[in-house]
Amino acid sequence: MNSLFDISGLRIDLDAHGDRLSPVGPVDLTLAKDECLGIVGESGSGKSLTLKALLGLLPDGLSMGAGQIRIEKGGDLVACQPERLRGHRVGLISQEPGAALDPLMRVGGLIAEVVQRHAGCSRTEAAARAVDLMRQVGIPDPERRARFWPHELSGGLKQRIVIAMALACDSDILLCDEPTTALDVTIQAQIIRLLRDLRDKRSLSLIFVTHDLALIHEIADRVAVMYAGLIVETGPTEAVFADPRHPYTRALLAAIPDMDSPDADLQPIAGAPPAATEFGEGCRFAPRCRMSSAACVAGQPELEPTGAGTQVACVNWRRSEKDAP
Amino acid sequence: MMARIAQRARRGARPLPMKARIGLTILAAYILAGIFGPMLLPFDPDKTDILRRLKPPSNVHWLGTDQLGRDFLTRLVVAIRVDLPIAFAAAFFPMVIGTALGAIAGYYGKLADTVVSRAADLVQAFPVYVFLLVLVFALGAGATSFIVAATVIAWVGYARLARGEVMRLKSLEFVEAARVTGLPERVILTTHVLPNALPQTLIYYMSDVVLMVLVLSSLSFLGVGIQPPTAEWGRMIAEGQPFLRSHWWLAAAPGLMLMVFGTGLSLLADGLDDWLRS
Amino acid sequence: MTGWLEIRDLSVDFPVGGTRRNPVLLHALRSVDISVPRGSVFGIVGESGCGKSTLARVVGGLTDPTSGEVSLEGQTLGAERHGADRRRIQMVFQDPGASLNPAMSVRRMLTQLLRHHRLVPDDQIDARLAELMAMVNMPRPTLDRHPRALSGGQRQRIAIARALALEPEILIADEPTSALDVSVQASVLNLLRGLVRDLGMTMIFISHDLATVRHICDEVAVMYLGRIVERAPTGDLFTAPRHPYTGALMSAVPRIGAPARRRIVPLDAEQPSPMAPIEGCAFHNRCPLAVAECAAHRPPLNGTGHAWACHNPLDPEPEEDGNAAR
Repeated sequence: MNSLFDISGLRIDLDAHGDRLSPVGPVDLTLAKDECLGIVGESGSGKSLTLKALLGLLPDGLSMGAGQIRIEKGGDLVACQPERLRGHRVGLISQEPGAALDPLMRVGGLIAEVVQRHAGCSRTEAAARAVDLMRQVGIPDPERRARFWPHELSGGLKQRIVIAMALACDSDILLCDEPTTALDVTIQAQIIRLLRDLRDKRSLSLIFVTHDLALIHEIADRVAVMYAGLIVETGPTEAVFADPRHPYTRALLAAIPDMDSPDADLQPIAGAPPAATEFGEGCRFAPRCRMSSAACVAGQPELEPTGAGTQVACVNWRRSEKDAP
Repeated sequence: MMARIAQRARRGARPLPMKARIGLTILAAYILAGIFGPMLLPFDPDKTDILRRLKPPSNVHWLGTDQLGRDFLTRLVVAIRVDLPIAFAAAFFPMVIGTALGAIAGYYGKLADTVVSRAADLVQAFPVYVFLLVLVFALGAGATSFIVAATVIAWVGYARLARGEVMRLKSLEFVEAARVTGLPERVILTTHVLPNALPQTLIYYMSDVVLMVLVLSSLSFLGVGIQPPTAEWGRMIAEGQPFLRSHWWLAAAPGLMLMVFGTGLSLLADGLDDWLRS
Repeated sequence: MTGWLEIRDLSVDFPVGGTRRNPVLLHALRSVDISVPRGSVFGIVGESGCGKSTLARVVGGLTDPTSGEVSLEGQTLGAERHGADRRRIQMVFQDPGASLNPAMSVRRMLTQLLRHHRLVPDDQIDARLAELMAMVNMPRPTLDRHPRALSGGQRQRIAIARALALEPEILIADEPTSALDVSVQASVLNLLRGLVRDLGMTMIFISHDLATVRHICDEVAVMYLGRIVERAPTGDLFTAPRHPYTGALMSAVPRIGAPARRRIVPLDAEQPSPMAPIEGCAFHNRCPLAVAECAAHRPPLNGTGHAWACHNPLDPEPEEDGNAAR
């Protein structure tokens, strides 16, 4: 596999009254060229924090405690500082596009500024490039819209502007943090289609974070399921969804209503995900798991290959649900 | 999401900030000294002894005596019993009245809001100290007239605070939810809206007490507050003034008492505010 | 057909600017008709700005309609409701973190309601509280907790208990699971479904999530820009949507079970402004099937049972992959 972006042993620490708490990690991730890696998890699973750490954007009180981030350069993977990647190789699309756009600048100017800084071209040239980028991200009537203020655009269009700004930096990796959660489904479908097109046409690689399993299924080539700060199952999307091995992945799939099987009963997962203060020695899902056994409490299971191309962190992954007591 | 993690982790034990703890300690020290101090000190604070006037600190009179030969330490401590209750009361009545008026104005709006807001504008149109002096003069010097005058002026701050808080709270979903359940507006205001505005009001109250203690001693210093021979810090500063060169502590010590009390209560208010917001 | 809960020609305008004489109005609802039979779960689905939440607020008695009326068993209900009329329709809101008073314990909140409406004698309040907790599957000690000590899912159960305390006939659930974690949504949905079945309540379920709506509702109305564009029994709607907007909505939903079938993809145009008067069908500028007629005349909502408002509807042929057993 042709690795483009490689994260190993990433751990995020929270400083709380001198005790070290690690809400995330250790986490290993690899992104191949032209690939879309999906990270799925509930709120508090650490999926967004992981993404923030990759750009050096962790909020106050949190820091990268351990781990190495490497990026491809001239065919080799080289270690890099996350802060350095921002605005160059790696772009970010967040849930609230409004926050990423300076309200005091017209959207065309916002993109042109990035173009100018990055390509060092003249002002008029940058403005023309901005309009061109707006067209590339599917904004209708870009010449007119370039003169709009951010607040005059709908959420979907704002998100497209943010994507255009990332393209202006010639980013080849786009980190997407729930980019469509605040949008309506029809708009979401349009943004997803755009991201897919960009991946194919401009060879953009994506890390896509969301809580929506169906959306991950639709966009990701590979998926990592996170629970309580750790990856519990990972592998090619089709393989993971066709035969999920981790009890959490299975439980999650059984808990969401599916449009295509309206009569299936929903199986709720008892309890709530643990906070970083409540992480125990053993498997963090064990207290809510229907298959948990004594071995689960003894130690944190490591990811191990299942033979079907996926990896799973569960001591009981070979047992099927039916064997549960 | 990140905020939530940090918050949850912190919530395990959310201790009072250091500021608030220091403030609380100072306040407790003043109250304890005010209650038990006079019992432990052997002197009568008002008993003059012209032969033993202006003595420096000694084994008997730890802080010496004042210009009329009264034990200075005793007077400093006894003054707590004067300054603190009056200041707390002078901020309490405006709090009750101002919060009630402001809450009504903010919740019902329309005419109630117009009346309360215009009345508040009217009070604020006068310079505070001038207005206060006029009122105290008209009512006659003394604790009661000070409290009345303070109430007439200080309710405005509470009213504005309560009005803003209530207006913010009444658009929140839990107030709408209460409306759906059919509770009358009066009940919603008193049981659902006001309790949520109370913490901010109490914090404002504490800083207001600091202000009141300073205003009270300023008035006494000017001679229109607490009358002699009652021990009161502002009055004591005024009385110590002629002896600044020889007996500087006679004016400085009451000033220090005021300053430490004010700082303590401000720290407490500020710390509690941080604590509630975190 | 006389329904039990009738919503007749309901319109709601909000002034959003302009002058008092000449206000700019946001048309949140534009003559909506709905009739809900007793004991059913009626779904209202649509995207943001379609008016579904305004509809919930009007039925729940929080907003007065500009015109039209809501009636229950022939009796008109405005926003001013008293006593028993108030109790008959209760609401569950989207965000239980916001819809519960942070300064009140669960016990105080529920006791206040039971006392105010004199639902049970004072000496039986404790028993009733225990019963309510059991109904929403919460342990009894929860009564003495404050909302901030509860998780999102638990808070939503308490919000449901608040509604149940008043023994309503109709429960309006406005996106009751969208603020919750994926793993707890199911338990709240199951709870609501069970309660409706066991207590014989009627539920109006408002959501933007088609999968959830399909799972829980008997009948569904699809709204777009303040109007109902299609209404049908759930099965019919999902197997054979007729309005292109419904089709677009369904093709936009990402699916796990079946590969998404892109029947209809809305054009990259903007939704028209809710402030402006609309000529013709509100969806025509985004509709890939639009014909000349669509821009000129607004199609009426026609049909009994399955009704749609469209000049050029989709083929009724059912989606083959849709209902395939899995």
